[in-house]
Amino acid sequence: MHNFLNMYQFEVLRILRKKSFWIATLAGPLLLAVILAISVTSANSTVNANKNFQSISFQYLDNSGIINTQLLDGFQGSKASDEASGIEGVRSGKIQLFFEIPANLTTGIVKIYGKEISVFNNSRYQNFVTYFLTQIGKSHVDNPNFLPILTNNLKSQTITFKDGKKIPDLKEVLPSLVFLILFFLMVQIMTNFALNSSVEEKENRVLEMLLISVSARAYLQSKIAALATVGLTQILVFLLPTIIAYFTFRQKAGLPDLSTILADPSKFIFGFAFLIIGITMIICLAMLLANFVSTAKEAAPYFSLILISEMIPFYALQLVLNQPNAPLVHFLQFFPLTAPVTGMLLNSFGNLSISITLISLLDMVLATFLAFYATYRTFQKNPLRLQGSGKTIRKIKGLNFYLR
Amino acid sequence: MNFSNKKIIDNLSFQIPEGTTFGLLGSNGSGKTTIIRTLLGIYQPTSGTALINGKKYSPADIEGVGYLPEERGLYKKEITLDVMIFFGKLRGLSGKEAKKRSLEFLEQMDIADKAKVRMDRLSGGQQQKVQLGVTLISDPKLLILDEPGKGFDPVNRRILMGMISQHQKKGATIVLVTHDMSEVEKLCSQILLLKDGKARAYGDLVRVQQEFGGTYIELIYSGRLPESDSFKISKEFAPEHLELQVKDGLSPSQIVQELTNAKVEITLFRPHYRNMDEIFVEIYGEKALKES
Repeated sequence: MHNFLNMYQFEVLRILRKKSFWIATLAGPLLLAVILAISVTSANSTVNANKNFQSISFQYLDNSGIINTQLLDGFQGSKASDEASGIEGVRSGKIQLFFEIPANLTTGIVKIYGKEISVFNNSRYQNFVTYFLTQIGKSHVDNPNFLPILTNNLKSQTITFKDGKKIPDLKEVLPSLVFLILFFLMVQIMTNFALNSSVEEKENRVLEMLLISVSARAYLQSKIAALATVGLTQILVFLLPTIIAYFTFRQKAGLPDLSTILADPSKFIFGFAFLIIGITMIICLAMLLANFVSTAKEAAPYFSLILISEMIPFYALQLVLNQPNAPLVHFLQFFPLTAPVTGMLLNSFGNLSISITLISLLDMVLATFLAFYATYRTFQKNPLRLQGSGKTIRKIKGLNFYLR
Repeated sequence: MNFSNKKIIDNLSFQIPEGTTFGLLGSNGSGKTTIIRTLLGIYQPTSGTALINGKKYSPADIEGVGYLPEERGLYKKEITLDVMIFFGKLRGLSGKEAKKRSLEFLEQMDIADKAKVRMDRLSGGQQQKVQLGVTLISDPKLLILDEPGKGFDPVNRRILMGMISQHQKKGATIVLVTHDMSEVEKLCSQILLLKDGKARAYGDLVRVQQEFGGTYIELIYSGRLPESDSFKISKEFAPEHLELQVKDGLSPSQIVQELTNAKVEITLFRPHYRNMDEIFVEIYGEKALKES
């Protein structure tokens, strides 16, 4: 235990002292900051460019009674007969926008239905409704019902249709897609550290000196624990500025109100589970690979195969999102190497049932356990395998010998 | 001990008595490093056991071991002092004690100014010194040194030998792997000479030297040497300056007696054994000696 802690501490500090770790880790929040800045700018410019709104054809249903027909001058809008006909008008493509104002703006939600423009421009409908209601609110500053409009605290929910089908709102999908961004960020950084630190210790003959004081099991466990700590640090470094930025710039950037999304926390819980188990599995695979190679250079092409397999779900993205029950999607969901990304995608877009999620997670846990067990057994059998022998992985006939 | 069905060590059995300096000798590829790794528990033997004080052990059970591998290298991108403290802590020292001993060692080696420098910014020789420091930091009771002199200049080699002697005096058991046979003769009391994974010479150094070629006598004399079955002339350095090879089973004193009886006047009578260089060559041949 004493040496496990020494190894763990040394490994954590060794990684956290690397400039490359901080550059790669801070790249994520910086990228988000850039996206946020663009969102703020575009939201402002969209609100200001009210002339463009006048070309939107819309219907509305006003349960609060704040809209009078005079306000519609200059807009291509009319009152819908009921909610169903308004939604149907958008679904069929006859009108671009339908929105329903709740009886109480302070407690209720404005429901917005729009015809899809493009994934990144669908927020235009929300901006339009905000603009439209703001124009009304300006002449009713003394009415408390308008307070949410005038203080930019209007709660709204947007649903967009394409070819008659409801498509998810990107803003609602984005929070759970953060796990996917984190996954790729962490896969790149942490598996590189796992692979390089193990191979470096073999290459530099440090391993021999370590193993006279540390057991094979403690050595592997300390590496994984250290990488997990580094991973958590990475998540914190990524999430803290993101959360601060969200609460600071939410209104200016027109970001969605998470309180409506957090009503269903399962997306976050499953997204987090796919992230953590997926990363642990790939770290174990990286360490298993490190057992069989002499140098980091030799490991690179084999490790690239693992990384490429993580990308496969993106090549089948249309199928994954539109036909979640297709056999190929099920295969991607249950094959351990493609399961994390497929799971996170389906989970974000709301196409993942609880039973499939649990089977997929169990499948990944099993693969992680097997990878760790194989790593431990092969390492215990011969921790210095192929060291300096000039052999390559191609010369290894199979794992049977090492697993016997 | 097999690797991929190839026999590396074959039916080998030996003991290292506590407090001795044990020379593990052999040409490149003879299995020395494999034996060390097996002793350290890094490799598991295909059959047989390694015991300490008659008991099986695992690497984590071995306390007070210092190991200097043949091929050197530490964490290249880490700070020298941090690396030394880390290994000191792994060997059971407190952080404070590890730091104190590390700084003392660096001072002793005249590289105290490199304490805060990254390992890869040190010269090859300085890195060797740090690695030696890492090996000795916990004052080990069992010291395994694989080619300790490799990469050291003559001055530092002398310092290294001094350090090994210090540990000998403290009663440490030392396993020394070296190709320098003069070092073996100076430091070791027991040896194991390997060839193709088999023991070709093993035991007390003097006994091994006697076994391989018996006893020799350097002799300066005047008079006429008697015809005798007790010895034969193995070398002629000059007239009346010879080397005699003593017949197995006879002692130098018996030869003195025989020469005196024959009225030979002796100026120099110096018994000696064959040196380890010659024994090594006999076992491996000239080619292997050049390789080593």
